[in-house]
Amino acid sequence: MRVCGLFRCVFLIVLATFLCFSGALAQSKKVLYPDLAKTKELIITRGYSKAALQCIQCHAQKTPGIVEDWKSSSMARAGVSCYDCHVVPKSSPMASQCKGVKGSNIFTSPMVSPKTCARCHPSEVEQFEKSAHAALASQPVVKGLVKLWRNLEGGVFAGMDPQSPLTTAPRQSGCQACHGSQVKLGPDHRPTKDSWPGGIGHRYPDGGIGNCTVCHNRHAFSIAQARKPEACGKCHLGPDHPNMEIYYESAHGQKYLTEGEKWNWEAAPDAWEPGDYTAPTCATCHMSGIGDLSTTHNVTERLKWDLVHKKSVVRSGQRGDGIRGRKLMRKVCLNCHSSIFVEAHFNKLDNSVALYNFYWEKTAAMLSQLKAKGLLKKDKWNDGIQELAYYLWHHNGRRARQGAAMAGPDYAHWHGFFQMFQIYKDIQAIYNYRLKNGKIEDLSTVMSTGPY
Amino acid sequence: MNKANLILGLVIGIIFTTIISLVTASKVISTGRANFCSSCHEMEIFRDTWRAGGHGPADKGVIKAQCAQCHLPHDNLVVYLISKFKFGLHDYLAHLRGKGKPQQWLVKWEQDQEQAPKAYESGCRECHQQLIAPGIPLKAFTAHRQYELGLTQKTCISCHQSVGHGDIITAMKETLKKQAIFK
Repeated sequence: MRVCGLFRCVFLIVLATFLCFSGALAQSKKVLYPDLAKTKELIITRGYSKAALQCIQCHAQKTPGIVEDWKSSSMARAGVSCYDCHVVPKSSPMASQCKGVKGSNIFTSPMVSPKTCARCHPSEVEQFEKSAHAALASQPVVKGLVKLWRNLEGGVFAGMDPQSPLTTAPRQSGCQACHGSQVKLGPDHRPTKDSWPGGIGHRYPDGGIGNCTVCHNRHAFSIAQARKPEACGKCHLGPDHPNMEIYYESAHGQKYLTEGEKWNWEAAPDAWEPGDYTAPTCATCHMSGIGDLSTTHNVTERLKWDLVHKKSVVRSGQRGDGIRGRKLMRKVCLNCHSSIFVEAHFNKLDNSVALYNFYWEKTAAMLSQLKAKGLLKKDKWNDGIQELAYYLWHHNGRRARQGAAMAGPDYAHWHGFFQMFQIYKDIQAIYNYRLKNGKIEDLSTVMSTGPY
Repeated sequence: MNKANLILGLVIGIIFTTIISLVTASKVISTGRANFCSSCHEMEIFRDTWRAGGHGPADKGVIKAQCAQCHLPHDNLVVYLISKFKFGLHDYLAHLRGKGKPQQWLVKWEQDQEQAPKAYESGCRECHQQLIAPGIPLKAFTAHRQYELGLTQKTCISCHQSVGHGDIITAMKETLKKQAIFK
């Protein structure tokens, strides 16, 4: 019995020791799986100044997502780091200091305007500034349509306090995100919460206008991303300009969806040619170097028509040179299509534009005649005929024209001309009613959201 | 007039002209230097900021450039001399009228951000002839190649704004602050 008791005792001690060790082992296993998102450490000792390295190392821990994104980019390969774009002179209106540089002579800004990008990419920025993507894009948000986002969408008309920050919600969440707006600075020289970041025509305190990171998202600044149609589609979609949808419907888009994964998206600028792809994306036709055409960051350069405003006219002045635009776009097409094919396409577009203009001019004539007789309401958003005219132009008319321009027949027809003729008939009926009775109908005759 | 007199006259004339030319040349050079320019009080801040910067005598391993090397056109000698005369006169008159105080510069720059060149491209290019030199960083290569190919309207100082006088705006604001304290 005694021997047996001794054995039992030894066995228990061994078991206890084993359990202790396995517990410790389990604990040390926990260390094997650190929290990658928070303890990322990146030590670089090559090619950067001491200050630049400090930014990288600190931000690898503080904002690992940003540094991870950057470190595989061509910017990182070219030796461009945080410091090169975010450091500003002390006298800059945007100069502030993060905790890491407090007390030093280094001043930074979270905002980077195209002026900074232009230091290395001057011609790209100069072309961009001439395009409708720069100042023209944010103009309605800053000037023309303030009443729309503040008084109407912001609810002032329904009793919202005009000074309330809620009135800026439509701008913050909508207009500004695509069009851009104007950065306002707080006393700490940082942007106010409601004025940054912004879309493609954003206006910065250093005078720079535009936002390169809309298409080349920070902090990878990829050329491949900007070549994919979705880069454009994040703004060019929806009921008023379904360009993304039109592209997907077109033969170009179908090939992209089928074969796009195999395309060479990384070719150098101006060296991306047919063969690297089997169909063009938005960038190919509107921006890329193709054949003997050089790259351009002026997206309006290869356009003939203004397909945005109430009446389509050949582009001129600050909106470009339409005659030259058509010549350039024809050159683009001829890289892959026969001339007879190209002529047929442009013939279809020009006829569609002319037909739209016919409808619009007749509508505008009816409206001005009613106005002269005092038969239009002052508030156009409470007046059926004016709302219908808006949709004829802003939604259906654009879909018809842009569907024709980029070969999306469903948009040109069912979402375009098919609805346009019906809207026109309604406009005509209201027009006749008002003229005959000499008065405006008591209630609006159309749905407030209009026909989709 | 005899022959001996003629020769004597020529010799004296040549010596005299040589001396005048040498003195003029040396004055043209010395009046383009920081020491001379900053003998007017209002230019001292430009001298100090230049001293501390990349083109000054601070130990950054860069050859120093004197005022006139950047602030006068170097297209050719005639243009250079005419400009020197014109700007010299302009600055002298401005000095007499008490102009060129930091607060006046700040207001001027505030109102006109894209004002006339503060440094001449021909001045920069006199020394910086090879813009795509061996060993140039890739980020500079991208911009300099576009410049060389004439693809951009940007000038040297569009990008290299602080090469001459560092952050001159901050320096001026700090000077004004100090003056306010001593008042």
